[in-house]
Amino acid sequence: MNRSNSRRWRQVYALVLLLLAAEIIAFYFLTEYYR
Amino acid sequence: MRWLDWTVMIGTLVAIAAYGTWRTRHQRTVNDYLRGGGEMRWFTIGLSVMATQASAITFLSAPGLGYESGLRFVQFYFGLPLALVLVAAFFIPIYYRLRVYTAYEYLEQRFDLRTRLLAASLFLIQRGLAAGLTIFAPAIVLSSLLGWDLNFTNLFVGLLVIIYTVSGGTRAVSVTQRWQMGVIFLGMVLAFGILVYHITEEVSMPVALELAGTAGRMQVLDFSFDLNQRYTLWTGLTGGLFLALSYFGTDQSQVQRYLTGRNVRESRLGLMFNAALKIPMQFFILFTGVLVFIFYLYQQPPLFFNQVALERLEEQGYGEELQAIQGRYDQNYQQLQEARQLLSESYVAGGNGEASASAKKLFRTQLAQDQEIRQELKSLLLRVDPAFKVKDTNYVFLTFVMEYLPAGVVGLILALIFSAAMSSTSSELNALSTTSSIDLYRRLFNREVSEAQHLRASRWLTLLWGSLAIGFALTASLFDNLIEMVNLLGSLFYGSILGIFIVAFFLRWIKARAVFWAALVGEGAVLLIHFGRVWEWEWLSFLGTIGYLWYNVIGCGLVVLTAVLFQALGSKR
Repeated sequence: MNRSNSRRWRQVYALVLLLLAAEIIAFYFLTEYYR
Repeated sequence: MRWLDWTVMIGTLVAIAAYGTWRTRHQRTVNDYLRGGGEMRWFTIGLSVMATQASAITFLSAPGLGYESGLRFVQFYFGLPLALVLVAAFFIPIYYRLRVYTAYEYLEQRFDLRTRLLAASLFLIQRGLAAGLTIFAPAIVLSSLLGWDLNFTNLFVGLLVIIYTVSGGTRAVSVTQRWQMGVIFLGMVLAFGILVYHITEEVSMPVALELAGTAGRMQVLDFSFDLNQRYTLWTGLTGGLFLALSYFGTDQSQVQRYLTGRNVRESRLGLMFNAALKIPMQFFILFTGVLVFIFYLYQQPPLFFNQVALERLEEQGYGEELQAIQGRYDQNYQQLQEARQLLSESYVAGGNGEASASAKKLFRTQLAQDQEIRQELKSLLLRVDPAFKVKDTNYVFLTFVMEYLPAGVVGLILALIFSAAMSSTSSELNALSTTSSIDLYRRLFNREVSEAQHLRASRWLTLLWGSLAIGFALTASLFDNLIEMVNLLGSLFYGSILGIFIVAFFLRWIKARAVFWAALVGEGAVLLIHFGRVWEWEWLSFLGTIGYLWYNVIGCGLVVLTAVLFQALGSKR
């Protein structure tokens, strides 16, 4: 698999993990707001 | 059940099964039958992976969990996106390069035949039993709630699934799962919308959510490091990660879904679809349960959602005690409503100050008393039958649905429950058939099998596993604690299988002999730990009440470490 393809996949994975981080942060604010 | 509900439910299920059978009627080759011709696009793969994981119990128990304890359960899925990234990055390219039908085929190429057979056998045992449970678990809830004959319900689900799975193989599974997910999505959105409608007739949404928050239903994250706490951020990111890695990377029922892709890209995108959507989806289902909780602050819920259990109490002469508890429950509910009213007024007035603080305290006190009265009932139920399952969370959502949703929508929700059961079962049967066909039949008994013969054998094996699953479902009610046992089986075996694959992918210097014996040691240790706890051996008491989730981590870790040790010792000689 060529290098630009690998880079694109790494970007996809990073995006997914960033989404996870954003969800956890959102849940944190939700938890704190209703505590 | 009204005639419209019956029509919608049966019509939907039969139509999907018929469509799946018709659409995939020309399965000529084993590649078609077991791999869907290797043509699926990422969207179909994504829905298929999602449908395989989300069984009926997801849609029965998750809203019930949301009702009873709020949103915490979503933490369980935090490890899933990371696990899917790892599977997409490392597992998929290898499976594609070697053009395997099953994950275990790869193990023979990497190690040897016995390692392959060990992993395949563990999968067949564990998944074979789970397939029966996927049919049985929703059937028992539905038959209790709706008074249906349990055997008939088991047979109805099982036979419909067998028809299209035997006929059309992997492709039929994928095609039907698309529609089943559509039904599931539509049903959940409708239920959610109707709940919001009913709630906003009584109170504004912001105040409703404040009420839920005061009752502890809106807390998502738990940062505590207590291993005995089932759902925390840390258990989700670690234990949940290992479980998801094992499930998506090594369980053939999922591996088969994404190996139907036309190339690596389509499979990876299908998994990323799930990585992005699983947590929001689970949140949405749990939040539906929270809305049910809010709804029942305005309409009195039953004392116990499993009505059949209460009827049994009356039959056995405990009617008076039951009535006394019911009377106290009714009275407490009145007080709860007053406390709720006070609290919602204080929110409308601004939500600060002493009045609000005391209203919150009163509300929580009434909720706690509500729980105490329900606990009294549960103790009575246990006195009558010590083996009785006193958790009624699986009945909450359907009780609400049967009583408060309009005609037609009830039928759709029931179709949703069955669709979820069927979509999971069909994947399981397909995977069981593929593994027995490729890893046992072709590999051990008939290496030179012709295409036609192999296709025929695969069909027969699907029928066999389907029949076994139905058979198991039909006899399941004879065994106590069955659901727990089968779920436990998964946790007992998954860790070791994952350990084998971790060594296979990442520790290339470790050879077959070391990993095989390491797998036996790892598995033995997990079994020892589990049964030692069951038999209450003192030296294991430090483990406390840690959940089955940790067996995955322990099993995987032990296999990897032991394999390294064995290889090192072996090469020293």
